[in-house]
Amino acid sequence: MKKLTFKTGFMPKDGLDFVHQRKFMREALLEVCSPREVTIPMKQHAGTACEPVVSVGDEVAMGDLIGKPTDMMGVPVHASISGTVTRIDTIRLPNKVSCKAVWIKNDLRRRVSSKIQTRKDYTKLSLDDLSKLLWASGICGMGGEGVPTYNKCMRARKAGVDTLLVNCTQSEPFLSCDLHHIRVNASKVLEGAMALSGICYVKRVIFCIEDTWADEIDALTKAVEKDRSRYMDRRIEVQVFKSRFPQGCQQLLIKALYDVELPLGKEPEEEVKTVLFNASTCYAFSEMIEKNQPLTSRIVTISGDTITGHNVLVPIGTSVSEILERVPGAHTAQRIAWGGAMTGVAIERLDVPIIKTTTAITIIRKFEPPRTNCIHCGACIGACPVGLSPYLLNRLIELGQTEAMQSESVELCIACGACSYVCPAGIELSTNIAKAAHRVRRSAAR
Amino acid sequence: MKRKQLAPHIHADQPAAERYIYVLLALLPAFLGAVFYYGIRVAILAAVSMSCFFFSDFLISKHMYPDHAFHVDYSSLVSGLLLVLMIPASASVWTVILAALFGSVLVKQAFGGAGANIFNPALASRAFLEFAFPVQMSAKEAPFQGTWHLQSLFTGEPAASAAGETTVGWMNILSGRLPGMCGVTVMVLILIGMVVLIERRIFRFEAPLAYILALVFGYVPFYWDALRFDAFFAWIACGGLILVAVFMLNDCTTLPLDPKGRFIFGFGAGILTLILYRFANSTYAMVFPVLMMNMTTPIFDHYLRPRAFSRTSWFREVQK
Amino acid sequence: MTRAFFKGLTIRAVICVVLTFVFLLSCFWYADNVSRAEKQEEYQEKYGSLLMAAEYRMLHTDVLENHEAVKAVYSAYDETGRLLGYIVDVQTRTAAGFMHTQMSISDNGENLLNIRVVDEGENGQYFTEDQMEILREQLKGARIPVALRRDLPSDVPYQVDYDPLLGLHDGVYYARAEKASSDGYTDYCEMEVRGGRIVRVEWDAENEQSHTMRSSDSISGEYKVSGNIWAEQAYRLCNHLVLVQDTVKLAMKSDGKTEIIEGVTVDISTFVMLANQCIEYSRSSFTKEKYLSDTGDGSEGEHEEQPEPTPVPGDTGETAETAAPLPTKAPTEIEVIGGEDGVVSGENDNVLSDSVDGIPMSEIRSFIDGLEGDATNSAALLTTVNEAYKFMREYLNWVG
Repeated sequence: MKKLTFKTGFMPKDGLDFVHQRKFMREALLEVCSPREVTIPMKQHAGTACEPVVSVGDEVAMGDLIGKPTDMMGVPVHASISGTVTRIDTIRLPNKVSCKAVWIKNDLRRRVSSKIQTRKDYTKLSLDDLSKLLWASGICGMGGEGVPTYNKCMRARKAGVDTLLVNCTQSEPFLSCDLHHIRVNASKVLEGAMALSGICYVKRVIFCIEDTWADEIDALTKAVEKDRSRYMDRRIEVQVFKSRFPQGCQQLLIKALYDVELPLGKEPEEEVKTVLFNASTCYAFSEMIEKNQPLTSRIVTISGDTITGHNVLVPIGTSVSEILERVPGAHTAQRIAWGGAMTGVAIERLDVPIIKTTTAITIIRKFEPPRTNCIHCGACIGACPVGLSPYLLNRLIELGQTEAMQSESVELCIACGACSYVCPAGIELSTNIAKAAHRVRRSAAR
Repeated sequence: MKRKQLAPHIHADQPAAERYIYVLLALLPAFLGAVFYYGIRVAILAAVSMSCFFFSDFLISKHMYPDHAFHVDYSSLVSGLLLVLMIPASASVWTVILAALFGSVLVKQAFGGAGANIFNPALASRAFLEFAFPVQMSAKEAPFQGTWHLQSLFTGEPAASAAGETTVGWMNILSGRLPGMCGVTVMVLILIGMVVLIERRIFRFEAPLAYILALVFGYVPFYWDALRFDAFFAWIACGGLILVAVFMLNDCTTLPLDPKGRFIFGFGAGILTLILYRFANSTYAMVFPVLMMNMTTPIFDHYLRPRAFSRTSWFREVQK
Repeated sequence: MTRAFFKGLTIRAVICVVLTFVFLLSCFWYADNVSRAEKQEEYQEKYGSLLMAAEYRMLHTDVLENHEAVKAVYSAYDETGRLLGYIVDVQTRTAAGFMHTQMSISDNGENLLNIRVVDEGENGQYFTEDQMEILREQLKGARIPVALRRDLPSDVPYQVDYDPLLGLHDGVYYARAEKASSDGYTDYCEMEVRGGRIVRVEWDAENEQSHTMRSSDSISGEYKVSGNIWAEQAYRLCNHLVLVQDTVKLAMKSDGKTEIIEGVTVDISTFVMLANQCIEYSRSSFTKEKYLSDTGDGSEGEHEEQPEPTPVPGDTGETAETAAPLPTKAPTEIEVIGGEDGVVSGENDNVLSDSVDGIPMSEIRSFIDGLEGDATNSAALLTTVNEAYKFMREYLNWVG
């Protein structure tokens, strides 16, 4: 099978070409975390915040609804553990989201909400039932962007898409949370994807996976072959991509698959009639279908540049400090990133909760970026996947020339961090340019 | 000073300082060859040149550009060493000091310090020497005058140079055992340096490739009346062109950023080399083409850009 | 910059340095080899006509300092490294200027293999091609040192032809005194007859105790007689016998001396007796082998020889034939020599006075005719040969 990849920009071999990333671990040891307390923010997705429906002192069980969406752009929030609501307050998350949050103290009794029970005839659910389940499950895009999945499906249905992509390409180095689902529960991922495809009226499903993960490709192919007879009306394909950063990015997947470069602000649903879901999202939906279990926990990869990482199954809302208690050497870390190594946000305080879109916690032991002047080497130009000239944009940002920046297409920046990663002079290109791009996009939208 | 903790949290493992140190390492074989052929004198000249370049850069950077993050610049060492490799071993210490100061102050720091210079400092210094001390620079000292051949270190008079022309056998071409600039004649040692650069992924092949291609394919039309391929090969191998190709045309600061630009740059340098070799002399042909093309680098950088995502043209639209 | 960086840097630096030096040294080695091969080729071109060899090596020895005339010496080897011989480059001063010759000498240093004149003198060529060819023919294979026949100490002109004795049979004959003379030497005489002519006569004596030869003892100075050293006297005597072919013609007087041979002052009676014996043997074909097998080790025999060293003419009144040992001679002789040194110094102060190129006549191994009518140049050529010989003698550590 032909391996697809994107060609815009040129990846330096040593950089984020995953093939050369030795520290990238393959095996994912799954650990289950049982926290003492969880903090569940009301806004974990891209959209509007929910309103808490519990008050301090309430006893909640796992799976109980605690946050109710106020409009169609919200997703419901459920309690991830059983316990007592101790506090309801405003919280500011590292991704600069401020919202209300519910603190729940664990009673260690693992009470499960009465609604959660294994559905015996889940294969016979109608599309309407599935849509309702999807709405109730509280699932949003678990790859990082956090778009409510129900809305995405409705939009895809409206646009009349014909293809559903399941994104199994891990978007960052050191991460393997999505791939864990593929390896362990490929059939459930497949089932979730099938259910989603039904909701979107899609007949063609493509699993996108990178070539580094031979075992996962095997597992996926087997699951597809096994269940192909159950879904005779769908065309299911497994598409292998070359491993390179940032293949997991939506624009670059589309570019690799269709050779179409999505213009700014355009979504793949309208442009190429394709809708994209993360593998973890599919898995979460299959849980909802089978057990009626809403999204209350997710797999988080704990990794770093010097530790061997592993995957942990954590309830949503567990604070980072509680997860790191069991990671040896975490306290010596120079910095801890809430997210992956490339795009994660470094956190100062460790009481930050894990939310639905948190894919990883990255422990950075040593980070000594070089500090010199720009040596005009052009590495950033080679690294930029969307073909910008980061060194020039950085210079323009320093000079404050917004117009010139716009003529240099600064708004296309996808904030992947590749330019900063390769810069031999250690200039913070990515951060500066992503900020400027955000500003320009916002002013353009206005 | 604690920096803000911004993404990304990992970094490629080759910062600028390491790059330059590896370039120095790549120059080590050629330097050792020069010491082997011309004695300890070359080592003294190199030490003087490198330290002069380095401290001049450091002091000026510190006082002229206090806001620069970093004043210790290893590219100065590279320039200093390259300069010494391109002069005859009989040059005096004073000329080397003068040239190093010229390169550091006027060529590099006057334009904004490391990374902002337009001309290659080593080549510009060499050009300066060519004009300021033409006699010393044209001295052709034969190899193997003795290890401790230091008498004229401060006066720079060429020691008893070889009586007759050394016979230019292919073995002499290969081993670079010819009188001339002390570090450029041994092609194989420079190529060992190139292997180091390639292995460290510092080597960018576009410009050197275009340069050599231009020389090879341009030779026939330019020298239609006097084709001598053995002399041509000797010139390519021992005339310093390999050093220019591997180190000057691979210097990131003074070359275009775009691969296409680098290719055109190298090709232009090759054509200019042929013209200068035809109508001037071999030293001019080695030094000036790259300096001339250096002047065009901002033009390449302005017009040749990678095509931005979902935009149509890789060639930059000129703003009206 | 981390530790890993320095580690990588060090490894690469070491590899670079090693590669660099491998390249430089191999180039250097190769260039060296090429120049050496070129040199050998040059040598072969230069000396191949003298002595073809696979390898020529220049000798670097202190001995060269003692021999100003010898410009350079090369030893020649074949492919297996066996010594083939020597090539000696000699330049001597002649009347006309300089004579520069190159010659090859056999590996034992005894025979001249080939010779040629390189540099011509200031007044043109020394020899024409034909002359050189003649000289070469004479010299090829000759044992060195070499002298011209002209130099042979003889009053009698060579062209005088003496008739040989009748009835001589060809062969080598040998006669030995029965017992040692008073000075402890046992005389013997060896004679070679070819074509009915005596062609070679050798007279020497062996010391009973030390088993050294009298001739070599005389050369080294241990055995002294008045006049020329004994070895030279014996040599002249033998040569004269070869010339005149008859012992009678030696004109021995009753005191055992002769006056017709220049430089021979010793008592020759023993020699005459032994030579007569040899002539007798020759007539009866009693060759040397037979003689030696008959007489065992040859030490037994007649004892009528006379001790030949008679210091001064007219000292004793012994007759030649009596051959009576004179027990008192030895001490007297030594005393007399001591006393006589000053007396004879006027004529023969230098024991090497009768020598060629500073080499005593007795040491000369070959005689050649030289060029007719160009004795000066021939002698000059031989001088170069003998210079080479002197060098070889010292270099190979002959004769002390």
